[in-house]
Amino acid sequence: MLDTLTNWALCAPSARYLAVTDLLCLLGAVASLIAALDHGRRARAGQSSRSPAARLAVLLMMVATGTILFSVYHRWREVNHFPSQTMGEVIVMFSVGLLLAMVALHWALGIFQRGPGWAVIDDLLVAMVLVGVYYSDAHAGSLSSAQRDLPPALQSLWFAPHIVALIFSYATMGIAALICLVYFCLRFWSGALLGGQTRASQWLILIGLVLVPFSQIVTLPVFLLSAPVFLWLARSARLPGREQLAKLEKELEEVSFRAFAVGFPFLTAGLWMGAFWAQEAWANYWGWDSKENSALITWLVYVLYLHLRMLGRFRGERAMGVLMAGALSVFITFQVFGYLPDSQKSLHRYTDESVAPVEGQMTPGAATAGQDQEN
Amino acid sequence: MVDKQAEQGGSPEPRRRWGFGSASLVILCLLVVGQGVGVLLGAALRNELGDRAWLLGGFTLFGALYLWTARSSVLTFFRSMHTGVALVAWSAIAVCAGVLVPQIDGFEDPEQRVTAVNYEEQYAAFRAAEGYFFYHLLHLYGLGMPKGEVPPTVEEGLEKFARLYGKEEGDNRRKQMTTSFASQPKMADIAQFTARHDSAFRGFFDLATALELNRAYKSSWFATLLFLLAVSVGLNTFRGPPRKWLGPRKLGGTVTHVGLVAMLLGGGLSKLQSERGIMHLDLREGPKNEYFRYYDSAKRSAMPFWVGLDRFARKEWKQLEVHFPNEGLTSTPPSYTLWPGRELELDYVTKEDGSQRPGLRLRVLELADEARVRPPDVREAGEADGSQALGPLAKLTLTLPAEEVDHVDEPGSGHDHGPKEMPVFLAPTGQNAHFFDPGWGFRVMAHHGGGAAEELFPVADGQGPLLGELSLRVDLAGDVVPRTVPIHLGETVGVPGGYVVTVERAVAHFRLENGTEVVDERPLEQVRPDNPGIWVSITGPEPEGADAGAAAPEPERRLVLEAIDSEESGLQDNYKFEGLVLGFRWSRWNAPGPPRFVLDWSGGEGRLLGEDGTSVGITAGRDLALPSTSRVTPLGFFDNAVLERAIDFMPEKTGSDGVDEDFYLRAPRGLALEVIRNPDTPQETSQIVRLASTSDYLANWWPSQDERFALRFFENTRIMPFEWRSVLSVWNRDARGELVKVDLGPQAEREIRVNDYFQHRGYRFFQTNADPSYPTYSGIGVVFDPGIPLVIFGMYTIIVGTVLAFLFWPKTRQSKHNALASTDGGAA
Repeated sequence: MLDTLTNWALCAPSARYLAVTDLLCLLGAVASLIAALDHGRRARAGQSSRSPAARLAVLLMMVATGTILFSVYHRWREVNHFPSQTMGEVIVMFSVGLLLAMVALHWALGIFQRGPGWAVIDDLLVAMVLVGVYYSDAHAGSLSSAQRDLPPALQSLWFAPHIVALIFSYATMGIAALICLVYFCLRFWSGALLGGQTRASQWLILIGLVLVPFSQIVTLPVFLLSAPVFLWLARSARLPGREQLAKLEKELEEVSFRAFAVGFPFLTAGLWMGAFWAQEAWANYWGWDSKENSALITWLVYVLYLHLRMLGRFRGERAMGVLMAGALSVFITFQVFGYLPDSQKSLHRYTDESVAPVEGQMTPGAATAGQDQEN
Repeated sequence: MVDKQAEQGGSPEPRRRWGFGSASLVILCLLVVGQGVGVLLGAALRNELGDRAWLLGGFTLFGALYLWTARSSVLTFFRSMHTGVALVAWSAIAVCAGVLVPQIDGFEDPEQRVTAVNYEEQYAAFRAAEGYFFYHLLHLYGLGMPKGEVPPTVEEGLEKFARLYGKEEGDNRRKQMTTSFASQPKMADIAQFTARHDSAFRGFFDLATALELNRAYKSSWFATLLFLLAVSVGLNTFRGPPRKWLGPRKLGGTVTHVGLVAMLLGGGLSKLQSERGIMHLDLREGPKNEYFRYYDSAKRSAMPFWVGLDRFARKEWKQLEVHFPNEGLTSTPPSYTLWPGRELELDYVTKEDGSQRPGLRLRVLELADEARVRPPDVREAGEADGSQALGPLAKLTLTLPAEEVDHVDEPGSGHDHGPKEMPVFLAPTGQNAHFFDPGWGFRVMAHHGGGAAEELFPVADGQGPLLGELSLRVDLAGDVVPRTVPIHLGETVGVPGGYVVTVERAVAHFRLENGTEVVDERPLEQVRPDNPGIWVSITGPEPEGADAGAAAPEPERRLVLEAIDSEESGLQDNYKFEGLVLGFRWSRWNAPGPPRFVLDWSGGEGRLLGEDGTSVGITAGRDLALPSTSRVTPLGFFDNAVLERAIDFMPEKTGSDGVDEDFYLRAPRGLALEVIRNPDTPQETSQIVRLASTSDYLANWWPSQDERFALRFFENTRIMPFEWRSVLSVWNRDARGELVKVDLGPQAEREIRVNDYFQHRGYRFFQTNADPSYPTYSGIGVVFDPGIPLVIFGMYTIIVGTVLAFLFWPKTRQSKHNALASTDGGAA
């Protein structure tokens, strides 16, 4: 971001709008944190009015959504196709998804309207999403921004809707997982400070937040940052009582399900749209390609969550644990996929920096004895 | 999927209550049974069981009878929520197993297995993939991986690169170089890691093979799992009266489940009936009805009709390179894909205030699918022409007799086979200094100005005939740029690293027939060098250390062809001394060949010097006295010539039956570009430049007058193409056994491309393969799969059902929430 802001004239318009978005996100995150403190103070005073800082944070988030959409528009012009060919472009699309999903969920979930204390949760969620957008964009900036042409298979009407549906669902599921993360941090620290949790439950939460590979890049910082906050709340006797916390946990669980309910239809549509596209491109609706399979695993995990919650009446830790496992699966499908053993011959490696996919991968090895040169 | 009331004991008769653990265990047992039955059934179908097939039949019958008698318990099992959830969980785990265990090459083929013949090959692929995965898993976030640094010399080049091509291109090149330098030590570390754990990987591979985890999706246990899932979903969808599962609360779920069952049934049909493969079609060949199943040349299937290739074309991306020849950049310039309106800003200069501005802006005005390049007009350069002047140049006409025309035309190009005239330009400096008779009757070299023309003839140096240049690069010695040496027949060259290369034989036109070299018995000088190369023998370094006393290893015999890059083609990996990279360039002037002549026009007079010492004056318009059936007629000589570019853009064509005719053209493409110097400043100048993607008359190259930069326009064949298209035709045999074309409408109906296949009598044909060096070939994928419509219907239905479920969900949530409130204990 700083590099772009200091070399403004030398950067492409898409990079400029992205830098502005990042700046707005950082400012919005600061405003959200200020709002969280303000809302905490108001809740203790029994006031239900909204903090001006919270209004400012939401406004900044909405403006950031506008600027990042401008960035995508300019990128589209700069590369002459829907900008989701390189990993850098896809990650920016994920940032777009995060912002759009958060704006939608902010109003759809209406967390801040549930009561004075709830506004704090809403502020923290907005702050986490805005910081998430900043880091996503920073990661995109570390990758090549070179224009890459669309290979024939990607020149399809399915390209944009397939990507958009999946990315939006990933962002929404990511936000649902962030709510779960808040829940588990709350549960762990309240258990540690107030008691009332089993030792096994505490250990499981600790292991889940600290030791699970890949998801720990999000869970660990949030968990560690939450420690001083809870310690300070406990020291200053501001930590809510066990009953209030139990009610809060239950509400968080409900909210996370509603976030999931927004994302799941998009995930389903995105997954099967990919199959329709594969059918048109290769007359093969499902090739058991590892990217397809990773996405299918994600979908199955969420189907599992849905059935456990709706029919098995799973609530609390167990349901939210499955929801977080789904988010981990999303992360693996989205970012770790290239390292998976069966991904090396995947047809979905278009976004890799170092891989030039070969269209004829459908014809492996020696197709015929006399026509080796065709492969 | 499951009605929870059944779980709560809604049924009057006492039922067994299934838990997740017990349901999972039973499913696991069923998978084992399914796998066993599948293996035995396969053996029975291959007649490998003999009389024991009756035992299998009896066992199956007994199993079916048992299930029938215990149908109430079976129904209870499948209607348990725990069973449904366990099946979904097992499905996720099964798919996961297939992601974490690399599937064997060719796993799409149901008959493909790991055998004694392919074991090592399959294991090598498995080990590489698992080694890569485990290495990264043990070095999360790059921790503990070796780092690679970008050398300072490369850093300097990157700064210059950024100044010339802009900050963004510079940053991207830096990221690319950083990744490249970091990946070298990392890949070496991964290779060591996999080698260190070879025995563990081998054990894992054997286990995966035994459990069919490395062909998971084609295994019987996986089919059993999907069958159980379909049964479970089916049995739980339509429970109770229709108003229950069609009511607003359950409609979404019902529709989703119907879609899922349809999809699984379609998948089952696909598994039983489908077949995939590839047809190799060629524009020069007739229709075919055979295709290779699963891309295996040993497995052929015949269709009930024939398919022909009427048209085929591969269209490349039109790209531009901008070179700055005086900047001394060693890295390749960026390739810019072009589209109308695209602007490129380059050659940044520093302003007085320290900021930078572009010194050059290029704007794409027009792109044409067909450009015609006419022979350029030539004139003497004036002062204003600057670097556009090419130096001395001779303009000639070559007239080929009818029998030689085939040598210069591509097969099937459709040219008249009569005498052909073509212009020839000879320039003593640069790449056009030589002219070789297409009939291989003479060789001509241009001369103008300094030095005696006679000195251009090669002088015998006491060695064998000079053949050309040999390039040598030794990877282990850290060579990046190859060393080039002139090479003679029979010569021996020592190479750093202890290699010794000896040229054993030279081949002017290398050919293979049935995998064997066709040796041309004629003397070397009589054979036109269409595909030249040399056979060399290579001895490796002397053994060291413990092997010092061992016998010297056998020399390697290697064919080095001018036309083949051993690294790009992958041949290098197969060589015994794979660390030694050789390349060869045949010298058509110096190597043995027909008589040589020098065309000299120094000092205002033209003459033709023969190698035998003859000298004949030449006059414009009169044929040169050369020993060939081809005629060469000089038209003009210039001391400092300028070529006047003549490029016409042809209008777009549309075929009468809806196809884009331009797509199938093999003509050069055209580009009109606005070149703006010092943009947005008072010194701004603008110029329109036309280029064509052919090297004929240098139509693809435009140097700026001040020699600051040069533009190259080309179609990039080294990356993925823009698109491939084929027009197919269908043929049937008539009563006389002759093939007759079936009328299937206009070409547009039979045109296929990626993302648009053609279907005929249940067979689907899609564009899958092509080769830029084999322009008449088109690889057509063939699929016969009656399950496709059902699967696609199922998928659409799932989407509709999910949307319905979550559209209705907010309305039903409150009542459900209330119903659950009384029993909400957070546990199932």
